[in-house]
Amino acid sequence: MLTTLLVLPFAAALATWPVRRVRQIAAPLAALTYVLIAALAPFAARQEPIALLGRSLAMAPDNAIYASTLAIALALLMAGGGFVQESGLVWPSSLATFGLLLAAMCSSSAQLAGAFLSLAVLGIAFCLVAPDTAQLAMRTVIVLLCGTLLLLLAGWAFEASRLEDALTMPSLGRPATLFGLAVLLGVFPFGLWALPLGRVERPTAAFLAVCGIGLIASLRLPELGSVAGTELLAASVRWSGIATLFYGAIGALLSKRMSEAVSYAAAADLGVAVLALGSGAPTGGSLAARHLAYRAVACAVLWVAARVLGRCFGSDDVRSLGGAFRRAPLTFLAIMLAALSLAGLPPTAGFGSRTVILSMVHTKPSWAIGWALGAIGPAWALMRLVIASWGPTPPPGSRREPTWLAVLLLLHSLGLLVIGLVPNLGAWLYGLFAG
Amino acid sequence: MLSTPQLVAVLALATGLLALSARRLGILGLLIQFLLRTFLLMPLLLSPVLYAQLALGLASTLILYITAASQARVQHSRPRRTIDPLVRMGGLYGLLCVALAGFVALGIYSAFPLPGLPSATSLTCYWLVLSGLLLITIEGSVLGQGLAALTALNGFEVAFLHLDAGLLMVGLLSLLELGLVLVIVVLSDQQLQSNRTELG
Repeated sequence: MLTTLLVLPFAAALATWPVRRVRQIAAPLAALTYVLIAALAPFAARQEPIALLGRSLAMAPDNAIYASTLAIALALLMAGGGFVQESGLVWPSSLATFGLLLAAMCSSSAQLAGAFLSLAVLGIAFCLVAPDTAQLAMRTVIVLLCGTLLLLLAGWAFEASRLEDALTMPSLGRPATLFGLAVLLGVFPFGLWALPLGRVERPTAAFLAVCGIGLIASLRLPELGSVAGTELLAASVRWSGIATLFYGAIGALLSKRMSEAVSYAAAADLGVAVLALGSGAPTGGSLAARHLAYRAVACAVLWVAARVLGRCFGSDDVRSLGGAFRRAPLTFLAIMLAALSLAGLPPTAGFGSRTVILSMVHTKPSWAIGWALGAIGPAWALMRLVIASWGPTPPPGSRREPTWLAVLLLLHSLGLLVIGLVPNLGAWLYGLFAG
Repeated sequence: MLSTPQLVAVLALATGLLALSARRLGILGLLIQFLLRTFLLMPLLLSPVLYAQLALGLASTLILYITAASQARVQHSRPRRTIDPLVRMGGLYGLLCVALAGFVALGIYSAFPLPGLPSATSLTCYWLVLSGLLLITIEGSVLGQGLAALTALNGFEVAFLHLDAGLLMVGLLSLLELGLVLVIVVLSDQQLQSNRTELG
């Protein structure tokens, strides 16, 4: 089953290549493949590891849930891509990239994960191909490659420190771990590459780079912590988390376009996950990964919704959406729920995980004002879109939302609401599937 | 093996050509880098693996040369005012930057040699990575940035394959190199098309 899971995205990428220009076929094919991957991942967690030239690949049970979550979000992006006109390369490229991300997730060592992530970065570049995005794609590839190659080096240093001279390894491993993870997670100021991605009309590339790579890199932190030095890592991670939270929250408050606000809100939410990673608690890593998984679903919903608004109303700018609710009620409902989750407000999934993380971080009570700002900034930035849309007349020349896509968006958002109300639903479902 | 002055001369030539022109002449610099990498990795890799890697490097060079040639044709037909100011400054600016990177690399290599690596490998790694990263920041075109990224990747590979010369790592890094070449070609073509659209 694990072999099938790892081969399936590449086989589907080959299958979608000949029909990549026929959006009506390629988009549903890619979406169905992601749904299949989401369903297969829990079963793959029970399988024996696969040997690969002296290394091994195995799916940990917790990681299976994250793989399923990412696949479900990507299925939405593929379905949405059929409406928002992604480039023809996005179907095969995103599938191959997700295959490499799965391989990185299953890798027994951070070194191998770094190599697979490096290859995945190239796939993201193909997903970004569009008129006038060549420079952005090249810069993103270069920055992300720096991060993945540093992770590769850090992984080697971790393995070497256990086998060879433990004294010389930290000189290579420590900076490699710190800078590599900072770039891949996208913490401030190393995450400035992530913000322009949300603005361009390529939500799949933005999702894979910002949410996919970040989630998988975070899974490697417990392993690499010993190379970086636990105290140094905890301190740097905690402060960069706080800086990312405030930077994202303030940036979201100042944004006028929805896609831009989502990028900043995602950065603010990342700051919370990074706080969990730097808390030093034994459950910090898994809490951060779970929070990043919820963030991934919310980001997918909001980026697709931003593109839908752009197509239906000509722009996703808050100033041009007056009265838009009448034409796209389901989309705005989905935006509202996903925005609540991304901002960490009740009763959504993001609220549950954010509350647990912030209660783990030992700070003075006065920090509560800062945490509140971290939630209010993104919440206000996205909610004012919904408020602005309640006007009497729809924008002239606008068109109605595509009902099927709006329903899909709403279903994903309702998923975040249901997980917020029943936090253990994911684990229960996993147990049900995996027996 | 090469002595340090010989190695410095080869590295200066390889990166200097790239700094002088990020087009056809730059590809020659990249070719020299591939040959130098093969030379430095010769004692570590099995002959078939080494030759396969060299063949891949040559193929990459050829692919990039074709792209660079088509870029050059469009560049000639562009009005001078639309060329990026940094590009207009000529290769002299790039050469000065590479010279700076070279001096810094020589300094770092003597002060902080990479642990467990031969001195020639340390110097090559520092020189190529620093020059590559510096050229990325000053290059205006996608092709130039891509060639600079390949230079930095070459520097990383020279050092990393000394640390882990396993077949899996050699294969994955070669695949990464080929993939990066394809990305550069596709994105350069994309930039070329948008330049043509701008020119009408």
